Amino acid sequence: MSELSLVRDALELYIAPFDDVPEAWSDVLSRAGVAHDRRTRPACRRRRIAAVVVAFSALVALAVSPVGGAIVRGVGDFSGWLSGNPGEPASESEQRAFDAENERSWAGFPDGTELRRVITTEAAGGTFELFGFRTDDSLCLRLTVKGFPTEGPTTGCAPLDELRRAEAPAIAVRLDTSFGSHNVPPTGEGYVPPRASASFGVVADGVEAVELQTTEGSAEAIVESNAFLAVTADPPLGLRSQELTTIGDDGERVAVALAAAPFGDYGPQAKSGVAPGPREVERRVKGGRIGWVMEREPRGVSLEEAGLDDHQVPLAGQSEVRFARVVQPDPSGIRRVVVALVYVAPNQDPAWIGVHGEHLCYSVVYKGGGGGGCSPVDRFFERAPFSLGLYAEHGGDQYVVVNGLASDDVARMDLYLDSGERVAVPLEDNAYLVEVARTKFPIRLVAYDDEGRVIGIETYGHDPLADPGPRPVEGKQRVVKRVVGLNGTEGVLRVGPSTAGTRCHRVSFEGGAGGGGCLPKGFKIRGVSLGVSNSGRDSFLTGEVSARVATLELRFEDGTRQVVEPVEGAVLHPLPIGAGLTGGLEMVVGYNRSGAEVDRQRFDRRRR
Amino acid sequence: MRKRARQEATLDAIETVYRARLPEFRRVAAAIVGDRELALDAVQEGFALAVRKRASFRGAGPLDAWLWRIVVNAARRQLRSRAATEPQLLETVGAHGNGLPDAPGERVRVAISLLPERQRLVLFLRYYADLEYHAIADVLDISAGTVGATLNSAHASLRTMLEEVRQ
Repeated sequence: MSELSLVRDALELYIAPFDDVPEAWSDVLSRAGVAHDRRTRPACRRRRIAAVVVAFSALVALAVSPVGGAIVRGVGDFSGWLSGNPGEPASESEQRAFDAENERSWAGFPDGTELRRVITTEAAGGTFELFGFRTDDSLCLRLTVKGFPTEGPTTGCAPLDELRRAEAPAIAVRLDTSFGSHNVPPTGEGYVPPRASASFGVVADGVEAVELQTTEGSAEAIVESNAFLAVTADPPLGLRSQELTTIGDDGERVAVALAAAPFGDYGPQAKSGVAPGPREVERRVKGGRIGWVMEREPRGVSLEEAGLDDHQVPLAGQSEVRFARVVQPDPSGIRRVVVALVYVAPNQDPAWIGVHGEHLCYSVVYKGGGGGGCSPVDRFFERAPFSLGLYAEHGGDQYVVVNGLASDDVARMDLYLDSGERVAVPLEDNAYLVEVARTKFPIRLVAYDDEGRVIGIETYGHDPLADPGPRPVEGKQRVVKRVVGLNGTEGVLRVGPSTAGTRCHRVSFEGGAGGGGCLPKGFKIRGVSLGVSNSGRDSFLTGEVSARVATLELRFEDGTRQVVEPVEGAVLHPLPIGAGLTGGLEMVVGYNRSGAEVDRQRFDRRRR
Repeated sequence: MRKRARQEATLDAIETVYRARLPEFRRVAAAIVGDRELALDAVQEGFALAVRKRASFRGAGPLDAWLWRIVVNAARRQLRSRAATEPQLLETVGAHGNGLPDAPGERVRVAISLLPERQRLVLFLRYYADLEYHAIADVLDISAGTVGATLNSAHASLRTMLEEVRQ
């Protein structure tokens, strides 16, 4: 291969092209302080991506509602949910079941939370009941189903602030959650069609009907008591809601944007963008720390007092938990944060850490789990004076929780949304948490010091549940290899084309773990590109090789060798057990059909 | 000697370049900053600065080169404002992810990051922006001969490093 070709290939790999990011000339003018009324370009970015889109009328006039939001004229607001009691009280048995479940939860809803039954319907041989309830900061909807074995209730929430600020006459809470499964063999990708799927949310006063536009066409939802519920019996695999239309009592139709639920590799594809807000750090801070943690000050409550244990500390089991407290960034919220110091001894050395010593960790505690992570204490705030994590409980949730820890340098934090909103982020005891609508990404999180100077900026450029890169073409991914690890873990390798015309490979292991991806446009694998994936109690060699590589020789530290043949440029091979984290693998050498060496890759047994 | 048509940095002219070459500007900025989202920001900031400073463009060189210089500098400022390392969070539950390591990408990243800055800039402007030597010279305020020599050095260094890493 020529030097020029090598350089071109390397640069193709280094940064993928920006093919699908929209222009933002009006943003340039706005930043430059130049009025941009000289063009008739599509309004402004905020309007284009905002949740409300006019379907039939050319213009929708906005009016300020009594609750502070700007609701589309023709319908009312969400005061029914903000201050009223939609629906009817749940039965005693329903309320008791909720209370009992709530009591068992690590982080339950407040005691005395009252359930209201808002919609009941029959579908797919089951009875679906939608309940609503308020906490101090959230409006939650809980869908129960009777008649389906082993199906528990599912609960989704939206921040009350979203209802107060809403411009749209409907707010979806959770989309396309599945219930039950048909007794049929799984598809090639391992999916079994559900017996029913459901989407639900709340509507403003005056909304008479809701239509969901799905991947299979339009479906009408039931609208009662300021809520909507759409249940589809025997939905096709991958049915996804894409947009919602409300119909007001005056007949006006308003389209509301939704953030579609992912489905395997074939979910919504995000567009990247630039979030509004400050772009320049005004004061640089280094060596960030959290004093009360380092000095072991007992803020918040202990794990025990919070009804928790070490399992809520990341790295527990692989480290010594030296200090852990549970704090609550938003006193009106139900989520709590575990902040901990753990020590990773040299002999614990998990492969994915590779760093011994003391780590600062945090995890969000909530009913459905949460996010979190660890980093060496002296490097936690190396990049910025706060960390940035996101999590969602369900792929169809319309809100994700942005969370993390901030150093002592941070006095306050603001969140800038693509909608133009600026939200004060709850921050207490150096932990922060804030819910964000997925339709309002990109976002920019900004930290200020006590003199109001910007000291840290982090951005997230797209809906976190929607990957902007190339993805596998649905229905074209073929199983090319199945293997079983020596401890019995099954692994499956699939290969197929991507939406960018490149190649995808994916490995999936019994139990749900897996990985893989699609090559960026214009990029070809050079030589061997392999890694070790651990699943269950087994280790596997996985990855890709160039088309020139016909065989791989695996060389182990005990002197043994194995020969493996890639399948369509992809590799999945079980490794021996009990010989370190790489199964004792020291090196892989790739050969072409003539037996000449093409490439080789060394493996550090301490790292994957 | 090359003859250049004298240009003016009008709002329309800047917008024309922006719309015509935006993917290239963004890719070069991303290569400099090492972060696609920050790169989008750098390009927007660069063009905003160009709009604000358009009166200072004297037309001594091509408008394109002037804009490239501004965007490259905006990206370099953005790079300086970042900490040198990536975030160290080891686990984020619920984030989308690709579970397998991207070894070739890592190799290239390391190799390119080890190049001197000028070599990197010349490479990015040559391959991502597809600029001729004289245009790169205008952007970086060096001679076209220096561009050629720098590019040769970058090629050689990159090849050596990629081969070394491969061993």
